[in-house]
Amino acid sequence: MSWFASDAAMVWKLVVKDWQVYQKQLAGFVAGMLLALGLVGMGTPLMASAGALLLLVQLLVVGTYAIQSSIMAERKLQTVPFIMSLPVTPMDVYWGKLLANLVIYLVPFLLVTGGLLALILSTPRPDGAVPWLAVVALFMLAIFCVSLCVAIAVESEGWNIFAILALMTLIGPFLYWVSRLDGIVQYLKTNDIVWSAPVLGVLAAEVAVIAVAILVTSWIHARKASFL
Amino acid sequence: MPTELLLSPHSATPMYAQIVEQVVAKVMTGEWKAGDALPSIRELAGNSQVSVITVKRAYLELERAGVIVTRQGKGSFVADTLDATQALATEEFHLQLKGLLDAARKLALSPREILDRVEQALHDPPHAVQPPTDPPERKPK
Amino acid sequence: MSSAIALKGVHKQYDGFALRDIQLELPVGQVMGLVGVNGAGKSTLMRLLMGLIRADGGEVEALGQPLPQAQVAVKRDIGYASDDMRLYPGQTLRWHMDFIRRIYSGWDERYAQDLLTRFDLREQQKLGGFSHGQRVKALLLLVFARHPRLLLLDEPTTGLDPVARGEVLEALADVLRDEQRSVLFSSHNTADIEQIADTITFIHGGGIVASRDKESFLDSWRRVLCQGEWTDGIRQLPGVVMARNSAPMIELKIGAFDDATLPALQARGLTVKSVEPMSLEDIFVTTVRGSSIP
Repeated sequence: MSWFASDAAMVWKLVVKDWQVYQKQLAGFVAGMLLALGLVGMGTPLMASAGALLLLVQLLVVGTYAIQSSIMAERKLQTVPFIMSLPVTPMDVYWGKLLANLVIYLVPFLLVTGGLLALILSTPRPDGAVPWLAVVALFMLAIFCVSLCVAIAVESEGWNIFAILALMTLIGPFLYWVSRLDGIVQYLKTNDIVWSAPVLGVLAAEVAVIAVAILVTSWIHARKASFL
Repeated sequence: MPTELLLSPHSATPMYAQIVEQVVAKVMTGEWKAGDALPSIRELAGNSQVSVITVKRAYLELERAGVIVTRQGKGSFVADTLDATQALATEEFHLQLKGLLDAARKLALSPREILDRVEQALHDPPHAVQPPTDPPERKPK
Repeated sequence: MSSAIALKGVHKQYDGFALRDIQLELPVGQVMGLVGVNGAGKSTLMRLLMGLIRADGGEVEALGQPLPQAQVAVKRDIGYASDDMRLYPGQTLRWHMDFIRRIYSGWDERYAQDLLTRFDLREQQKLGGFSHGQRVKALLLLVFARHPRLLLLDEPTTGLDPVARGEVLEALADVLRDEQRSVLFSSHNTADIEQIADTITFIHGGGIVASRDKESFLDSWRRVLCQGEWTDGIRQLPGVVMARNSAPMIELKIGAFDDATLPALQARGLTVKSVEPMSLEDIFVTTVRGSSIP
């Protein structure tokens, strides 16, 4: 069975469909994020920390909610038979779901990352935090991708929620570890943006995790000749 | 040509028979004249909300009875008047014959017995068949 | 292509249910009604024809194409609606109509508007606010307005009030006008099938019990009331599916009624009192409950 979608136009239509169904909630989240970004930019370290934490949480929630509404809720809502009745193959639906969720997530993700980047670079804050930001941001993206792939591959709602929560618990330890990582910690307070070897290593690992997750899920789906 | 018949799925009469009856009624009253084209089977089926096969069966019956003629590729038409009247009378005869045989079955008459009684009726004068005797009317006091 | 659907030697095994040795054909331009109890296999059959399920063995074809290999091409021309289908509750009917319109080239906006009126639906209303009947009608509208060449409808009138049922049957009657379009529908409302189907297919316990044209099928069933002495041999008479005794009357439901039937009964010393045709509903229940299947 082919890995590729049978009809790119159809996949696009499915992506647009998920986008339209999710639009209102996304607008709400984006508004909340702009607010949080504002907090971060306000100046006092307390506000900045509070804002950053809020952003992190919001990113998590956005990601989870996107997965939840487009995949898990669709199963519960029973709109799946409707989609299956369209001129699509299981692979088309798979790519549609994957791309739709990535697009939906990338909007707030880029907003947050871009916003923080702008804040770091344009304000008197030390620019050395940029690599740290890159590593953390890509980590969030990796967590999202893995959660997404698990949700697509596994039917059970219980396991999906378990996977999402388990991945979330990694964030704390990761932040702790990365903030003390040799290769990051020495440049955090400086204005030099240094892409040290450890940093590049972690970035590469994160990209690899994303790639593997998508590849494995695609392989699992490509073996399905029919929907049920 | 009006193409909707007044059919009822709840009637005791089978649907195809209702169609036959109503087409016959239209022909007999001159609503549909000799040579008039009947609606196509599909058109009639769609307008009356019955299955195509039921209309087909009705048309076959009507053709067998000589009420309509079907020309290959052209459709069905009301038969020539003379033929139609003759056909209708024949249809009536067949119906009565069926009724006679049904009644005979209920009495468990053998074919020999049926023929005997028919012969007897043919030989008797038309009004000689005895009516059932009624109880005498009560006269008011 | 002369067959709208064709199944040859198809079988499918599930936990606790099996569809076995299905042989079925529907010529183009016909309407087939599928009758069977819940769980008999009607829905499975339709999903096989949509390529949603792959059979364990045998061949499945719809519109001349093999399934599930050609499912995309086939689904372009098939309209499928089943009672487990739901639409997006947060979106309006209009949104769904536009979604379908952009996917299928056969969308007929004028006909869709006509159906909106006939089905009494509001296009700006969100699907979440639709009643069950409205939701079914909305699904059917999305299917009908595309003029698909083959319609697979799983219980299209179940749960609808009598007025809505009539409207759906009218829309189905529109379809049968076109000799290039075919319909397969299943229904518990056997009256629908009796009215509008050309062929009746009876499915029970995962197998096809009968598949015949409606007129000859209904013609072969009769309810006969007779009078006489009850013997156990009466049940064994050819074609008798069910026999009940309430002395002196005996009721027989016969599934293979022909010219030899009444003489055979008389030969047994029974007096025939009445012979009536049976409704499809009666035939259905009798067949499922009867000890033998003709």
